[in-house]
Amino acid sequence: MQPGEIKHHLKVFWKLLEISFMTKMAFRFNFLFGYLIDIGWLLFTLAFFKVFYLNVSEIAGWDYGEILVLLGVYWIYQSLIYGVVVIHNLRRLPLRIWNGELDFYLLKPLNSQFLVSCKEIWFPIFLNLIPAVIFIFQGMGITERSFNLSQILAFLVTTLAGLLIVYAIWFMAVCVTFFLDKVDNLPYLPQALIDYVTNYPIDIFKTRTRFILTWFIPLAFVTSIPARVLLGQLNSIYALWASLLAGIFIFFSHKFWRLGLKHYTSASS
Amino acid sequence: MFYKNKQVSGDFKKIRAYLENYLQTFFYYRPQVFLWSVIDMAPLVVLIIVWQAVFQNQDKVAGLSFEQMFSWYVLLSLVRQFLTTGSGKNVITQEIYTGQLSFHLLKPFSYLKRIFTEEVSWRSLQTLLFLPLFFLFLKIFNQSLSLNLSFFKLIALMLIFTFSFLISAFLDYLCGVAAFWLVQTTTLFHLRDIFYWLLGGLAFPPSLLPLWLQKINLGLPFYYVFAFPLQVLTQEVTFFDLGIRVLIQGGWAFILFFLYKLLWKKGLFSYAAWGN
Repeated sequence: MQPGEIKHHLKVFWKLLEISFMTKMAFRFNFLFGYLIDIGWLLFTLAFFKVFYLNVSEIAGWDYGEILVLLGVYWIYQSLIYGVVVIHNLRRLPLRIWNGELDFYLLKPLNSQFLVSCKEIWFPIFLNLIPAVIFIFQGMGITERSFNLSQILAFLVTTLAGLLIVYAIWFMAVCVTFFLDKVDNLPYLPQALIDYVTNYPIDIFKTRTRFILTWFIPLAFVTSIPARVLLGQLNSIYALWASLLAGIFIFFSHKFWRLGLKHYTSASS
Repeated sequence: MFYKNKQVSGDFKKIRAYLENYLQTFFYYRPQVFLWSVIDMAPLVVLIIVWQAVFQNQDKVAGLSFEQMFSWYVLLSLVRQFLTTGSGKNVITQEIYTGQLSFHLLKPFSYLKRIFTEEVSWRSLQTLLFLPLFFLFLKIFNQSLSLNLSFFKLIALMLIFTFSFLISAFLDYLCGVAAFWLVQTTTLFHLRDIFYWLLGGLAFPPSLLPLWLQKINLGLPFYYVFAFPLQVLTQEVTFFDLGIRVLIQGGWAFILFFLYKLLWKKGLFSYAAWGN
């Protein structure tokens, strides 16, 4: 993509944000109920770890304060990835492929991967970014750790790269639909796997699995590594690795999308 | 008497016809059915891995060994296949919203019986398709199951599983019929799921909860869907405790059934559809 095109897509993204916000605010009760669901699950994860730590002192070397930091990063991932790309877009992509609705996305003078990924945005979940940040600060307070500017920068870069990586993995998993007969619950499979792997420290896995989850299916870069960077347990070089992996995964997600489109036959819409 | 016998045999024929029909339909969609099993199982596998890591440093947690904890999640993955119901969200709510309910109300067959036959066929097929995965799961972890069974418990378990299924179904249908009045029922289903995870034993055995919460939990229906049958299967339960809990469980099944009947009746009065 040329710099001009990127600017154009950013403008369109802003417009999509505006439209989604207006649409959601037209149904205020749905907005409120939607947020109740999101806050409910957030409170559940918090209660889950509270109960856990009533009975154990650590999980794979992570104490309660460190887990709170991880939980904060996890809810950043949940709010941004679910809010922007999953709930209204990737979950509906299989249906759009089967009923031919995808045609309308391909005909627009925009990058089709961009449009199918963020056409409609689920706003209420963004409010969970507030408790997510509170978790991080509370966790840092419990562990009695402070952070400097370079740690914050490395944390922001790894978190952003982690979000791009997890988006690419989600996207490729959903794109498998192009090659399958109708399996409408396919988007829930990456959800089950990614959510439960990223909700816990990567150190719960044995060495070989941990290696795979760090370098080949790099889900470690979604929550565990950013949390450890902020806690000062890993150095800033991981920000570089994260960026590199994000670039590779986004590139492959685009290639996979192009390959999937070659198999797309439309449905005479 | 003769009329009643004829009606029962007629109903039985209809149930059989519906069961066969649904089984055939669901069998066509077997990849989806199987995929739901895998999706349900994924969080439980991760939880076992979490506990594996925890038990590296300690032998017991809340009085439970790793073998007992492992058995909890493995058996949970199995009982979830036939105890989790989904018709409230996927059928009742949808049919009320789209007006398709009118079509079913006109049929000479009870709506509840129809939903039940659909649920039973889906659950049977899902459990059947899940079994190979269950044995594979046992093989991969190479861990023995900790079961605490007797002949008496096996007999009691039949009743317990029936009540569990009924509680699960009527909680689900209650959320479903709320669609008569609410534009958004999703919140109710999510709320129910949160309670299942936290209090119903999906996230961890209830013995990990603080004592005061364990006591409250015994009076709530969520405990009786998954946690109670699993405790009977894997842990020592006294005859007295078993009897009392089965009574409470049965009580909840009946309360929820009557509540459903009441809401269904009231809901039908406020139901309006057109142009089907």
